[in-house]
Amino acid sequence: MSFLRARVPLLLAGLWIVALLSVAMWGAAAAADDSNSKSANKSGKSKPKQEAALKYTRATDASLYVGTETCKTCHEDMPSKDFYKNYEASPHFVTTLDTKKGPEWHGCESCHGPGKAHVEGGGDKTKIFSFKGVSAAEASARCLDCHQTGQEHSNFARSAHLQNNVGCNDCHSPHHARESQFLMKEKTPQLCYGCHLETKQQFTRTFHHRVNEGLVQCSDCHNPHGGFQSRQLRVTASQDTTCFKCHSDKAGPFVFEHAPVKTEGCVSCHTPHGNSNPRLLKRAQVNLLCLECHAFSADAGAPATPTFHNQAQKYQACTMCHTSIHGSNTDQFFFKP
Amino acid sequence: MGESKNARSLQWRQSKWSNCLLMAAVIALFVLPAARAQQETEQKGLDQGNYNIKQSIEFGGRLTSTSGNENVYDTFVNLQQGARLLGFTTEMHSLDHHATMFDRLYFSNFGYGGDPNEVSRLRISKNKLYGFDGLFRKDENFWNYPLLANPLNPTTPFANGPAGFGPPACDSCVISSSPHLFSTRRKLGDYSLLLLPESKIRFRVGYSRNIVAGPGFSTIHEGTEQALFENYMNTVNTYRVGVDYRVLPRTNISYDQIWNYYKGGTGATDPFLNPLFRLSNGATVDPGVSLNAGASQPCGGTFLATGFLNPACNSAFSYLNSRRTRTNTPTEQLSMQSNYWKAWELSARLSYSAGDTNVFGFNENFFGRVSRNNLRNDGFTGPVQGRRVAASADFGATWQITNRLSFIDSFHFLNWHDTVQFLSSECSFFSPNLLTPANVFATAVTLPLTCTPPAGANAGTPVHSASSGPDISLPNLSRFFKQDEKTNLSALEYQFSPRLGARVGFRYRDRTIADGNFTSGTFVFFPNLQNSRTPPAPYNTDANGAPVTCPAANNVGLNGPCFLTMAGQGDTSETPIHEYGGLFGLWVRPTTDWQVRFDMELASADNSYTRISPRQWQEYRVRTKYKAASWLNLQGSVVIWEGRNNVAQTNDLQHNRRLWSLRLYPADRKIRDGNRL
Repeated sequence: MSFLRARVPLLLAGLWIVALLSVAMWGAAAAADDSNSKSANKSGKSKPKQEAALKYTRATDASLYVGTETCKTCHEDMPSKDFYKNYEASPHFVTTLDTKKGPEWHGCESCHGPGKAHVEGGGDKTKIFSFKGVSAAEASARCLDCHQTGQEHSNFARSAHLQNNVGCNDCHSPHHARESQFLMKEKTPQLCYGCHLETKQQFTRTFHHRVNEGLVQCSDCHNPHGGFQSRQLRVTASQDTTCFKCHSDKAGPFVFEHAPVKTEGCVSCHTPHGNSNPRLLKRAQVNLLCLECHAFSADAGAPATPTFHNQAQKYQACTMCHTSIHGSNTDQFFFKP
Repeated sequence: MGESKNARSLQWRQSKWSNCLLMAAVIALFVLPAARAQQETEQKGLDQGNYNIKQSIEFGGRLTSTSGNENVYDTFVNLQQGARLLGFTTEMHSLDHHATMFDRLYFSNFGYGGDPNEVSRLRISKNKLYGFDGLFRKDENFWNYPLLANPLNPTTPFANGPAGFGPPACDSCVISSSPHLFSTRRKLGDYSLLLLPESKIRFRVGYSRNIVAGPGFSTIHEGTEQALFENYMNTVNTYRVGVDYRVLPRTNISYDQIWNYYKGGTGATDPFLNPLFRLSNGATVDPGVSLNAGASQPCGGTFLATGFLNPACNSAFSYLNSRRTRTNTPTEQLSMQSNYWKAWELSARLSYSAGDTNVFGFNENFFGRVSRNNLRNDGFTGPVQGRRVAASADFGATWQITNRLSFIDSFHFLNWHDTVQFLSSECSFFSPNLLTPANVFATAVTLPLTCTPPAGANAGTPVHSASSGPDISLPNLSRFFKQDEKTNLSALEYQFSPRLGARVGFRYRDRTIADGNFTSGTFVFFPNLQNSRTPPAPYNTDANGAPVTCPAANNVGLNGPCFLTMAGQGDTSETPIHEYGGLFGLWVRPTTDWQVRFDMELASADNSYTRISPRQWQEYRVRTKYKAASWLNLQGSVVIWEGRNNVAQTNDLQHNRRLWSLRLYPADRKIRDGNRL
């Protein structure tokens, strides 16, 4: 087993290189195939190939568009009562007021694409883009065409959400939003619990960040639209952990750092969502957490607990004496700030 | 702070009116769904002028009746009696989307009137002109958890102890409340303004303010653990200015200038002078919170036969600690995002922070006794100066190879280093017990630091013990700490159909953690024992680990003070860590109403920084949702994480298995959950 374990990185890297090469060759072949198809399409000898699914390209031919007022004639109360009126009140309606951009940026057709064929087909649903039945990536591509600007959304294409087929419409509803703000389908954190059910029980533990109480939002710490950190975590401007935004006195820098705070992060010792320990520590008893690192070992990464620290006595509460455990400017043993 | 008389038991007794409330609640349970159903229909609002206005307000009151320990109630619940604003929301939107001042307004509040959580949010926007977002949050945290049943509480009576401490029992020895209790208030304000949101050039300004104010209690380890009262206030002000420029269609470049200013002000005193603990001269002292006769705390023979506190004990007459910390961190950030090219989507970010930290006015004064080293008075001061520099570079790309196949890569680089220096000076005075004031050594020799003698001190030779530290210490500590981190995640995603997709990826992370310290200092040892005592760590040993003492050759005059100047010494260490991880993910949508998502990561590292940092870890996540009917949704998830650091003498194994969670909820969102951990 140890032989295998030692070679896991090599095996993974090898597999990855093989997969990459295979895909690159496949990609090249597919690109060539695409090119051949387009040539065939131009000559009219083949059916038009389906448009790239994961990238939204707007048709610029103005004759393909019918305008929002035309949509209203059928969709005023369809598929639900006051359907069009609700849309009129929504922020997206302002696209219809834009006089500078072409019809492909206006109103309903800005998202659903050109409607002429749909109208001429007597409302044929197959002749207009519907967000139902398509993958999250395909649906989200249309939203991101306008909404990708700005740092908040700029990494959604690589976010864990989209990689798991969770797209814009899984959280936002342009037509049936329960929350007017950002057209959310539901209030947070209930919306987030809709998938992250295992997280909900963490926030119901005795000690927790006040998410259920409405004080803290999931999006205070996580960026649901993705980012460069694991768990889609946010960071402070100075690239520190997001915890320091509120717990700023722990940020330092300190003369005497408790190094794992900075290198391994707060989650090395704390469970931020909630726990039975009042300080959200991973272990119910303080010394059991400390001793996991500060025990005698030849692998001396951290200083061992002195032998006179009798674990049967008051020394069970390490932070009774080591009060400034996150870092100290004046005491190497963290006895004082 | 006061506890109820019945502090040993926590019982909730319902009075008559609370029984009535319970009945009302049961009735409401049947009535409210209908009302709620009405509420959930779309609110039309009121059209007035060019606006549609929706407004709701919910007043209420809390009738709270508690018995037992009120501190427990405040720690866990803290909902006090009184009228409350449970919710107030105003929404306005312009009917023609062309109003004069604003097109949309959202104002929401809750918690006002005394609840521990109060939140207000204001959003105002006018299309193409501006968007303002303001959020104010206030929360109160109270913590005082009675430790009456704590098995660590000593019960052994002190011989000759005063009432409550002496035989037959030591009821007063127990720590009845949290030594580190606190009552803090946090205020968070975040305000941002976006100008010209739809133009080619957008401007952003923002301001955040975060205040945390005490008071709280802490302890200090000076021989024993004295409880301290801390009155602190920490404030962070953050100012942001940014501009976005759309240089090409679907391509933005942004520049942000952020300035973060932290102000930390803390002071601690020891106000716990208990009249029960008196010396024979009548002075009251604080022997700390560790009162354990069985473990000789605060000392063996704590009380004399006369009932007075043993003057050889660890105790404090007074303690003071104060400082002002200021950290000023400007950050420049340049970012871009583009999906200009058909098959590519790119984003990148560069940022640089270089901040200074200073601790002004650090001053610590201890007046009492540490029996281990005969310390009687101690004055500790000195400036702290530091600097933190962080540079980061992130790059993300998505290449859509074909309609179904895409390749993503996400690279993260972060390099930060902290350098901090503490130039401290410390004057220590020694005496054999609490009744005898410290002796002040008079010398004609020029000393590197002038120490003010404590009140009541006498001229004479200090009474040191073999463990006494220097009488004057001037250490200079410089520390360096750094981490360099590079992470790359690349993955291939393939969408077989709109109902099925999969991905496989590889994550690589390289970290180098380095630290170093450089120390030098001057120490003065007054008689007696000036040639046998050692300076404090890390100056107490030489390069070979042998104890360092002040040589007699350094004595000034016959039996005079000994001067020890430590040459600079330092050490450094570096820990490289390489991590490799394989990722796999699969999502399936067998029917329109059923979706399943699975993803996993298997990873390993060739090193670890702490023993609880895993060298191998694996994570599996499965989530599923099924809409069985319009009134019934089923949802479940399984998350398993396991990590191990299985090197010799460590063998750390951790797991977090949230084996299943199940949620059933009908369309009206009344939720029933089941969890197994």
